[in-house]
Amino acid sequence: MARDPVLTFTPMGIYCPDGDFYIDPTRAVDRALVTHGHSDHAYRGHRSYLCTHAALPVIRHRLGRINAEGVAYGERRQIGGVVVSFHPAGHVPGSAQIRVERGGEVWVVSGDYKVEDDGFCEAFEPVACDTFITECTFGLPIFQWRPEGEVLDQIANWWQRNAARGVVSVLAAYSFGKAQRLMAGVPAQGPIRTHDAVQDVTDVLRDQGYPLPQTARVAGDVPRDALIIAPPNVLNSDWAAGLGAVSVGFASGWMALAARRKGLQAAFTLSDHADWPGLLQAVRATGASRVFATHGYVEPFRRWLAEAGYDAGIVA
Amino acid sequence: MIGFAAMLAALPHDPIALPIWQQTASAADRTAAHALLSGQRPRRVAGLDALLHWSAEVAGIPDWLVAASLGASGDRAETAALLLPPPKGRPPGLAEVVDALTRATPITAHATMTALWSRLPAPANLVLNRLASGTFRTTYPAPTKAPTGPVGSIKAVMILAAAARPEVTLALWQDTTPIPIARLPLTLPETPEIRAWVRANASQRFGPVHQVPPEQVFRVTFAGLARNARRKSGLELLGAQVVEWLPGAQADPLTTLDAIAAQNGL
Repeated sequence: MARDPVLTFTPMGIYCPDGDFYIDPTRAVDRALVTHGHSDHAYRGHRSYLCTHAALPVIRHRLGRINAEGVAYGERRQIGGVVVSFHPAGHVPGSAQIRVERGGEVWVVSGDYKVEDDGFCEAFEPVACDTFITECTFGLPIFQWRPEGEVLDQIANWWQRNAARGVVSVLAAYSFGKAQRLMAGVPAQGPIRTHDAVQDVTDVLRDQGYPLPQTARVAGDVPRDALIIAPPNVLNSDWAAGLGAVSVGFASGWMALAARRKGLQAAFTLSDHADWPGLLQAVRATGASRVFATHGYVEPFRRWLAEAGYDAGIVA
Repeated sequence: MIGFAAMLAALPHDPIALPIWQQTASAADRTAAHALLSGQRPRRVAGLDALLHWSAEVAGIPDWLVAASLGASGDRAETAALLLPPPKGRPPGLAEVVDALTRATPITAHATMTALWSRLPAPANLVLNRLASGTFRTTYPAPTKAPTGPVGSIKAVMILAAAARPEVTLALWQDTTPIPIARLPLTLPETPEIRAWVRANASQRFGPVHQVPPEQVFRVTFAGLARNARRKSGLELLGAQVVEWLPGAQADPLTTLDAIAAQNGL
């Protein structure tokens, strides 16, 4: 009798029939395994959550009172007819790939990941598997990142030049993950100030022991040599209007494209996702013969893999 | 070439990007930049479709994936630059790039491009692709005349000051009228003192700007001078920077507009 696949694709998200759980479900379910704390992966309303210990504080901070449990990286846990474990994805603090094993057959769900070690969050570890379900946010060959240190130096240089002419540097970055990676990684040229949304998450991560420099909320007069880190959505708000003369920069993988840089005074191509070579490297490292693409340029990425000899599909 | 590309990207928002780049650029690169920024472009070496095709060939990317990539970027010169593998070897300077493009013939164009591409990162290759395809445009108001010598210096008088930030509008005299020549940030050590003087002496306030008597004189350096019909003065200082406050300096023996235009052959 043919068995169900280890993982199936449903309108609620990726589902494991033998374990009766979902991975990063987009609608309320009984049991959710969550790869990391970004809001497009950790949704509200599930009856129970399972994630890494390291991911849990931010998820609790964002979702409030939830029924949640943490596991260590690599810890094996039996759920129904399968064994699950979480492995570092290198995307943001606590982020994981989820490995699901049934009778010797192994599937891995990548979640979001980045293969370059940023020295801040837990570094990506390839996990051997038969079937790999991979994100492909930047799944086109025009996306190739420069080494992180080079980009952090560009940011420091911009900050230093602004400080020298009395202009405050405002760097837009997602409030969880990118913001802290920047404050930990950019060589300091002055004090760091934050928007509340950034500071709240930063405090949670600092309490967990992630190495973060001193930061303070924007209040009153901002020192002219400060770097302010704020989420992109506040840049056109009253909050931003009160800052005086500023130079606005944005750090994101999308900054590789001129069309995305329009209207910004400075743009830095720095991503928490794998670039094209990184995606291909990750796929190869799993040894998987079957790959499903999700989140991003799924069709070109699937076709590339199919032409390279993989049994390739799309999560749909 | 790498620094030149970075300078071009910063130019629209950073008033001192050009002079800062010039400080570290070689004499040959400065000369090449002046020529480009004043509108002298190398001859077209290849069209954008050819560049994209050659780049995809170097990167080993099939046509269907080039099409998908172009769909995301929307720009053939950019797509051609972004597809290429990371650079190896010593990156060429701007002058070397312009020289190579100038020497290229239809027969050698492919070899010239692939050789240059292999030594440059994507942002520099994007500028290279625009130069090679005759689609190079600066977002900066292109000077009608290249700067004739080293950085120039003038004395100008403050007529307006922003209320909320250290930024002033400086003027030169035309007869007895001060004509605004540049609005510049103040980053001098005496900035707080100057702003206090503005608050104490402002004659009028127009929204976020204080008008002040034309009494405080500053030394301004600049990298070039261009005609700009949209400016009241008809001139634009390029890469200008306030370098010194001259308290007590007389406001009247300032350089006049006519004199500075004549000195720079405009």
